[in-house]
Order: sequence, then structure tokens, then C-alpha cells
Amino acid sequence: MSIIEIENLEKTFKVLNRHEGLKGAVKDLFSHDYKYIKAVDKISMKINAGEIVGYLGPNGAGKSTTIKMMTGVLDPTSGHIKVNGNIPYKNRRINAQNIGVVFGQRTQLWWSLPVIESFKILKMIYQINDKTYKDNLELFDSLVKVSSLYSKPVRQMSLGQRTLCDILAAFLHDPKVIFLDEPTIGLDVSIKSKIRMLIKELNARKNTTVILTTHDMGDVEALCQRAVIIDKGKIIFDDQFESLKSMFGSYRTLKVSVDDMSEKNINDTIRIIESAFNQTKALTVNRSEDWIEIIVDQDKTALTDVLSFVINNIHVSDVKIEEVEAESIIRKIYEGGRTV
Amino acid sequence: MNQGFKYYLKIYLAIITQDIKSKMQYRMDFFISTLGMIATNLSGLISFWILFRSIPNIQGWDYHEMIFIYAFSLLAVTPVQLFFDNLWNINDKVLRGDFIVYCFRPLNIFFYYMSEVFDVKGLSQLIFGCLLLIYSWASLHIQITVVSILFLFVTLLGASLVMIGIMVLACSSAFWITNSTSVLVFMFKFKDYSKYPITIFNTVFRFIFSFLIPIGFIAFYPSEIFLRPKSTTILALASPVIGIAFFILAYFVWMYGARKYSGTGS
Amino acid sequence: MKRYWGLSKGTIMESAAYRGHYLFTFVGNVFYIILVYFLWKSIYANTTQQINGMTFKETFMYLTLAASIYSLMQTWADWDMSRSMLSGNVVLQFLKPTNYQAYKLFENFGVMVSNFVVLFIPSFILIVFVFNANINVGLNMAIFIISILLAYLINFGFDFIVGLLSFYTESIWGISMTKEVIVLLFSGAVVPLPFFPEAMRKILELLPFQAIYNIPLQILTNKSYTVVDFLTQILIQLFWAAILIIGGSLFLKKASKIITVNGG
Repeated sequence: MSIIEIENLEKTFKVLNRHEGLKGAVKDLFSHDYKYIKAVDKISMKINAGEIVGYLGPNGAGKSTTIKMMTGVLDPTSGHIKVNGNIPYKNRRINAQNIGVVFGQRTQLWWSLPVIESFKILKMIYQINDKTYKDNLELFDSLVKVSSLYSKPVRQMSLGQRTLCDILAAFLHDPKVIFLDEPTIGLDVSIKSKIRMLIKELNARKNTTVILTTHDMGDVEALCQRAVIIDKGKIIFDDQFESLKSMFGSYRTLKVSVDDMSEKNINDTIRIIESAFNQTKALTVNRSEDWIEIIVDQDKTALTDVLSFVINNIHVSDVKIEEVEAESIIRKIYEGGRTV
Repeated sequence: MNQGFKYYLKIYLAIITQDIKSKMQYRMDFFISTLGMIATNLSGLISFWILFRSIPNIQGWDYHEMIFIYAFSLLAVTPVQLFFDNLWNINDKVLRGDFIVYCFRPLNIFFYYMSEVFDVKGLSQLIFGCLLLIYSWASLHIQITVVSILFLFVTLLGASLVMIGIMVLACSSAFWITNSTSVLVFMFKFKDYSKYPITIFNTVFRFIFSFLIPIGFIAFYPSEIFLRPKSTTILALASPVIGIAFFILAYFVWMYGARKYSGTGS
Repeated sequence: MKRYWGLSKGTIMESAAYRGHYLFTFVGNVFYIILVYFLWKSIYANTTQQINGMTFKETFMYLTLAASIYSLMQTWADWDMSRSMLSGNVVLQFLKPTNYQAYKLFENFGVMVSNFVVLFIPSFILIVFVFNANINVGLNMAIFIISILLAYLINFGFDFIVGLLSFYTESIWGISMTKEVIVLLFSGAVVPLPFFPEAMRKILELLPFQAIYNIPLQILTNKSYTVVDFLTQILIQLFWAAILIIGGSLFLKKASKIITVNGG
């Protein structure tokens, strides 16, 4: 049974073309010079109860606009959306009763209160009965041993502790759907894995549907059976995460920085690397901020070959190897011309 | 979902109790803030005292009558300080994109936002205002009847709502412009003007302070009911209704702004 | 010295970004001028020419110019210090090779200069021309500028001490507010000093508060002032400025222990 149904959902923002300066500001007051931006462009998807779905895409792709429509903060321009049988933007408060939301770096707990007091207030707000409340607190403690944190005011917590508590607070009223927006951003490895384990366990025990937006492919790999990728307002991929992984699992990103970061030298360097591996079509080379980014298809050529070539032929100042990021995958989807 | 008045009251009391408890750990801050509040109120009183040593009255309003209006304005300003102090944080929350989190609970957004902060230092102003009102009330030999006490509560409620309305409207500006703290500071200063009789102004400013920035309803018009019962104007009697209407207007503007903002911002 | 002036210049440039803030503050000042006008017009309505030796025009000018000077003095040094104490940034400022007090002084001097240009001058023009105040043009103007600079030093002296106090209390609103109402009331910026009871006025004249508002205003507007008067008043200001700045730097020595112990 689908718990979230989205059909031809569209959101267009009307944006004023702003003019510069004081004169421009006055002009804007009377201006009718609008442009329309399609943040979400006719997307459709169905999500089943108990699924963990990774909702991915670059910044400005339409992720947060979709999430805002699912949480009832924003009404769609056209199309249909149902969460748990509810139309969110028509019944924001009823919808809110059935969902939980966590925003990575923005806590929803009362800043100066000990966590347990926040939980008690949430108990009142969501009208959670005593038994559910007690059971959940026990469950939380058995999973992550947090009860020692309960008397600590939120403002004295580390980001990791706070995120952990925010996630627990979101699960407290047994919501049917949980939206997690960048839950692991800025956290170190050990707390990251703790949070992933927590989400996975709670999803399994309570059959809670989880919509996870993230830039961290590690989150997706650890948690999601399914991935939906959105770019420029359109869904460009919606399938099992495994199939995404089989396509890109063999890719690695090699990042190289050179001493001379001038436009010319960078372009020359990119040309040298590209031409060397031209035959095999194993590389994509780009500049990304202060790095030259080389995405290597390990099925076609060995990463070590590329690395030794780079070190022997170019004056590099630093090198690092990374897993492929969501952005790069999306770029590959476009370049590969894969149809969804 | 059962969300009546009782539901909200229960949540509000729970939040306030916890908030006060946590603030009590910073007792020093509480005492110093109280000192600041009393100093401010006292300086207003001393100014009047010094002024009235040299003059008998201002447009027919004598010292004790002016004290009455001043006390009334202090009491009318207290609720916005006690219960709506979070409006001073709106600029930060909106600019940093933190405002969106107020949209995810099954609660009225306005309630949820304002409930977050309870400002204890307003309590000292409440006490100061009460004492001053009692003093001027006694000095002026205004009768104490059930009706007059009832009138006092109703007019004070109306006046508080006007003040709340002014500040909530100023707070709403955050959803449209980036410098809303300046707007709040600008509007909050007008509370100091409310302790003077509106009749000192010429027609243009009397109109402005009655209908555009309605500070006349914070203290002067409602005070007329007690100080000039025989010549009470229509505006004086209408002040509670105007307070309610103005607050409702401000509430809807705020809610409209909040929805509009969460739709686009962050 | 160049290094310090760079600081002031930095804050002047920053202030330019707060156009909206300045606009609202200025309009607020205009409303205050209007209030003072109507209020005192009513106060003077049922009397003959003078109250306590001051005509309506003199009182009006005195109070509105005091308000303009007030907007000039709003540099929030104490709030800045408290904020950097709470955030821990104060440690960084202590590590700089500059004297902390001088650092703060010049940083806020920039704000004062911006306030002078954007708030004081327009208000001054409005008061003098629209409300037709008559002010001598001559030596008094030049002395007035010096007097304002000294008034700023005294005001900063208070702000700095309050800022240091906040290192102990870890809260600023209350002390800053108390300081503000005391300075405003006792300096005659709310009700002119001649209105105060004789005994109270005698005491206030011995205190530093009146050196912030009353002295510059008298220098600007009092037509009976001679060169000797100018000099005496400036000397009084110099005296208070020295006392407060030295007091502040002694207090700083004590207060910096808090920083080094608590690490901010």
C-alpha cells in the first residue's frame, strides 16, 4: 500500500526581476517584471509504507520544495499529493500529527530546556499516551543509550548529540512518515554510523516510512533500498539503489590540486590527462572549485594507473580519492544518456 | 485530534514553567534585568515629578492624572514584553532559515513561535505599574466599584492588544524585508509616546496616533474613561473593541507573511 | 595610530551596509522631534514667556539637539563586548598586539563618525532650518566639534566599563539599560537641567553625566558664553574623559584575569 502518492506535482515560483541600487529598489516596488521558475516539474512517485527512500539531487534541484509540499508547508501549483491519505497543504496540522521532520543543523528542541522536558512537552503536543511514551523511551535507550543525556540542556550539547536527540524526538509520537534532511551533515564517522544504525532499527521495528535527503552517498548506501534522483525539477532516476550502485559502484573520484591554479594551466592539465586515457573512455575530468576532479571507471582502467600517470606527469600539490558523490552520479546519468 | 483552548493552555503553561525554571539558573541575569526595568520605569516617573515642579498641568491634565496615564501605559505594555518577547528574534530566525521548523508541528504557527520565550523581567514592570496605578487612583479619589474594576480590566486588555498588535505587525515585516529589527525598534519607541495626552498634538498627528500607529489606545483614550467620566469620547469607549480588531488584523498579516515566507525562503 | 584609524575606517564602511537601519533611526528621530515640539508647546501654552529661565524655543532646541547627540553616541560598545565575551571571540581580541581599550575605542569611533554624518547632521539641519532655531555661527561651532569628541570619549568610558562589568555578570541588557537611563536623565537630555530642583542640579553638575549632553549644548547655544567659559567647559570634559578612560583601563587589568581564567 502506498503511503505517499504524488502525481504530476508541479510548483512554480513567481520571482521578481530585481534591479540594482536604490533607484532599482524603488522601481521594483511598481515593477511587474516577473519571471516564473519551475522548481518542481510534473513529478510522480509512489512510496510504500516502511520503505526508506533516498531522495537525492544537487542544491536547488527541487528537493526541499518537494519536501515542503509533502509536509504541508507549501501548496502545489498543480498536481496531486497525498501523505497517509491526507492532502498535506489542506490539513497541515493533521498531516503534522502523522509525520516527523528532522533538519540536520536546525534543532526543533527547546534550546534552553533539558531534552527530557522537551520530550514531555512533545508528549502533550502530539497527545501521546503514557504507555507509548514509556515504551518508546525504553526502546530509544536500548538502542543508543541516551538516558544519560536527558538532563542536559540542548544548548550545551554537541551537534552529534543534538542530532541524535532530534531524531528521537521525531520518532516519539510514532509517526507514519519521517522526513530526514541531511541528518549526518557535519558529523564525525562514529556518530554518523550510530545515527544510521538508529534510523535503520527504528524503521525496522516500527515500519516507519523514511524519506532521506542527503548529499552523503554513505547514508544512502547504509539505509536506502530505493533512490530517487531529482534534477532541475524533474525525476531522472527512480529505482533500486542496487542498480544505481552497480552502475557507479566501480567509479572513484580522484581529486588533484596543482600549484598553479590559473585558468590556463588547469585547462592544459585537464587536456593532458584526458588525451592520455582517450582510448579507453574511462575518465571524466572537470574542475570543481580548487580541485581537478577525475572520475575513474575502474572497470575500464585501474585507478592506480591514473594515479601514477598524474603523479609522474603533472606537478601536483595534493591528491585525494573519494567515493562518487551524488552530483557526479547525476552528471554521469546525463552524459551516459541513460533513460529512466 | 482535540485541540481546544485547554489543549493550548496546557502546553503553554508547560513551556513557560520549564522556561522559568531554566532561567532561574541564571539568577544574576534576572536580578540585573529587573534592575534595568525598574530604572527605566523610575526614570519616567522622576521626569514627570521634575516637570510638574515647574508647571501646574499639561493641557488641563495634572500630575496625578499624568501618573495615572503613565501607569496605565506601563501595564498595557507589559503583556507584549512577557508573552511576545520572541518577536525580537524573528530577524535572525528568518535570515538563517531557522523559521521553517515552526511549520512542522501540529500547532498553530503563531502560537508555537510566540510560546517559545517568556520574559520574566516584564514581571517587575507589572508590579511597578500596579503600584503606580494604585497610588494615582487613590490620589485622584476615583471611586472603587465593581464596575470601575471591571472596566479597568477590559480596557487594559484592549490596550494590551493594541500594543501587541503594533509589535506583531512590526514583527511581520521580517517576512518581507531583511532589516526588521530596525522596524521593531522604531515601533517599540512609540510606547514611550503613549504616556502623553493625544490632545497635545495637532489634527494631523492626532489622526496618525489614533488610526495609523494607534498608540492613543494604549493609555490615553482608555484612561479618559476613569479620569473624565463625564466627557468620555466615543474613541475611549471603543478602545477594547479596537484592541481586539487590531490584534486580529495583526495576527492575520503575520500568518499570511509566515506562510508566504515558508513557501519561498530558505 | 595608522592601525587604529584603519579600524575606524573599517566600521565606517560596514555601517554603509545598514542603510535600512539608518533610515528607520532617522525617521524615529524626526518623530521624537515632533513629540518634543507638541509636548513642550502645550507645556508652555498656559504660562508667560519663560519657565525656569528658558523660553519655548530654547527648551525645544536643547532637547532635540540632545536627542541628536544621543543618536550619535549609540555605538553599542558595551553590547559588542558582551557578545564577544559570550561567544568567546574576546580571546582573539585580547591576543591582538593592540591595546584592547584602544581597539574598542577606535572601532566604535568609526560607528560614531557614521552616526554623525547620517543621523546627526540631517537632524541638526532639520531642527535649525525647519523649526527655525537660531544658533550663532562662529567660534562656538568649532568648539562644539571638539566638545562632541570629548563627550564621545566620556560616553565611551561609561560603555567600556559597563562592557567589562558584563564579563562578570554574563548578561548585558539590565546594566546597559540602567546606565542608559541614568546617563539620559542625569545629563538633562530628557528634562533640561534648569528644571531640576536646585539641590539636585548642584549635585548633577559635579557628576560626569552632564558633560556628555549639557556641555556641548551650552557651548553651541548659549550666547553669553565667553572664551573663558568655552575653555573651562572643555577642561571639565577633559577631566572626566581622563578619569573614565584611566578608570576603564585599570578595571580592564582586573577584568582580563576573568578572560584568562575562564578562557572566554
